[in-house]
Amino acid sequence: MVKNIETAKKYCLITLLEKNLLRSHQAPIVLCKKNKSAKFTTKHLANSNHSLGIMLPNAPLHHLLFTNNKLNALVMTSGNKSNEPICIDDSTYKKIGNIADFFLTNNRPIHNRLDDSIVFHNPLSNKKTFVRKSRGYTPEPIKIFNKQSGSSILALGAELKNSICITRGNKAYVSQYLGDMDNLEAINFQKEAINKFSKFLTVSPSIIACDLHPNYATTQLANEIVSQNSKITKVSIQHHHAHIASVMAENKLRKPLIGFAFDGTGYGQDGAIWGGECFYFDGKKFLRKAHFDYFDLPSGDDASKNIWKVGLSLLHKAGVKDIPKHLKVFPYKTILEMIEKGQCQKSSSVGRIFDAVAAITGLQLTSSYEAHAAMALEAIALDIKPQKGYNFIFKKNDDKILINIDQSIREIVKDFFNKTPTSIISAKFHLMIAQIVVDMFKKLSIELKTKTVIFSGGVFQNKVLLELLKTKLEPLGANYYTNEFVPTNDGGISLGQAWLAGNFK
Amino acid sequence: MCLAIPAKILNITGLSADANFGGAKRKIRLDLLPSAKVNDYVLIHAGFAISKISQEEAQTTENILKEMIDNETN
Repeated sequence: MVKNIETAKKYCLITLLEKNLLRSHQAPIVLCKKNKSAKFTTKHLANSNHSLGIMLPNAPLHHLLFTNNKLNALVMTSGNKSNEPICIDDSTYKKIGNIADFFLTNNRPIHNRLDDSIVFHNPLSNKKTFVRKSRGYTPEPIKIFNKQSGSSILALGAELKNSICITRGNKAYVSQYLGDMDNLEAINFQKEAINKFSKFLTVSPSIIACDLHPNYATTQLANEIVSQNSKITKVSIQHHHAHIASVMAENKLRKPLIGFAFDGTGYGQDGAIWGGECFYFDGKKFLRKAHFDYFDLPSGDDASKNIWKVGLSLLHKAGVKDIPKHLKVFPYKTILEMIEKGQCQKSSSVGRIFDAVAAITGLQLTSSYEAHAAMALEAIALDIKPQKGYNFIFKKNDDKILINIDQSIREIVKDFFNKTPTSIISAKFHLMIAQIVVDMFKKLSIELKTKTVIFSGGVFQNKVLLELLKTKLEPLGANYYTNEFVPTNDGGISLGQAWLAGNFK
Repeated sequence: MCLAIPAKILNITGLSADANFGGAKRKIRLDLLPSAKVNDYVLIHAGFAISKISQEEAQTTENILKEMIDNETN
């Protein structure tokens, strides 16, 4: 939190849109590019990121803190253990007692937990995009159906960055960010949110939408609700369909279109971990037209933290025998054996591909949170404009197209051994991903006779990628959409689930 | 999200005051509005008085809030 805009400009480069967002009554956290010449004393602040999360004082106490002291900036974080909901009473402070020197509390009890919202200036849409939608922006209704509906839908959202969505009549109400559903506190918080929301809207949902994954906490909650009430029906929605559908809901699009869903993870209809998907919506259903060629994902979810495993996997797939030394400090032979024995789940996740490139180049070998390494890769590619990206091919496989990047992995390794700066490798990699999207769009828009295209999923928060797409898509006359009302990461899944459940199931 | 809601100042001690929020009495701070006087109607945000309002404005807002609460409990 900084004292005012002038102070913000000392630390960051602020666009006009960013300035307006900072000063809006919602006063969210705005991700702004670091001013490289700023005299920052600490490299511990968002070290591997190109941006800082900046906010202005938004409550009277904040104003007093800055007025009465010679303070320019305060580093703030929310009062909770990583991934858990905000602590709302003094007893829970004991949990997090060791994370700060002082705690600022209040004598007003907390009735409704809200994190600060996080937004950024999206270069593709040239509008604000939510990374996290919460304080100041929720609950906010959006009209998503053309007709008033008698039934109410409760969509339970994704497993990570969860939000729920309840529909009433022709409108959808999306909750605030509820966190990751991998801990008991968050699950209870979600149940609390469902109760509060249902009461607030005076509805009793008769349809529950949830993810396809059989073991998610949200799926289990859906099963629990249905078993307790035979009048409620459950609808399962594929994760990446929900991403595309969230943009369709925002814009009430029901016509044929092309949808790109790129993210870290989502349970696929074939049991694989999807994340690099290209669909055709034919007016009634989604057809999977293309995806990144499957690679092995050793240890499933763990691979999003121990990303060196995915690095090894892509090297193996590309037939690279010369493994960079920094990957050999890990039990690499065990992982390669697992892969060779076919013991791993298959994945097409672009998020994991980013992680793999970060690991192969040695930029980062483990991640402490989802997309940690991918963001580091993004940060170093900023402002680098290579002539050409790495090579890829489209391979036809029955009714689908497989995007094969094996050649690019071999080229990346070659560049690495030639001591090419990682920033250049990253920039060429980003350029390749953008080119893949553009070439696939060109190909499919001819075949399917539509230029309407949707981009959704956490990878489409990558500013380098978004800037490249903007430049390349404009001359093609593409009619493109991305998320605006809800985040393009998993925070937007519940809206997509609700829309699909209400329209097509 | 924190809304600013109207209240009437009942008594003042330094920069602290008691205020009446449509029947409920709460302690508030006057650091941002030191000119506030007893019987003034003010807007309170997160425990602090941020501006003065007329009695009419205060009553209108209070009526709307009461209507919302009545609807919720029905």
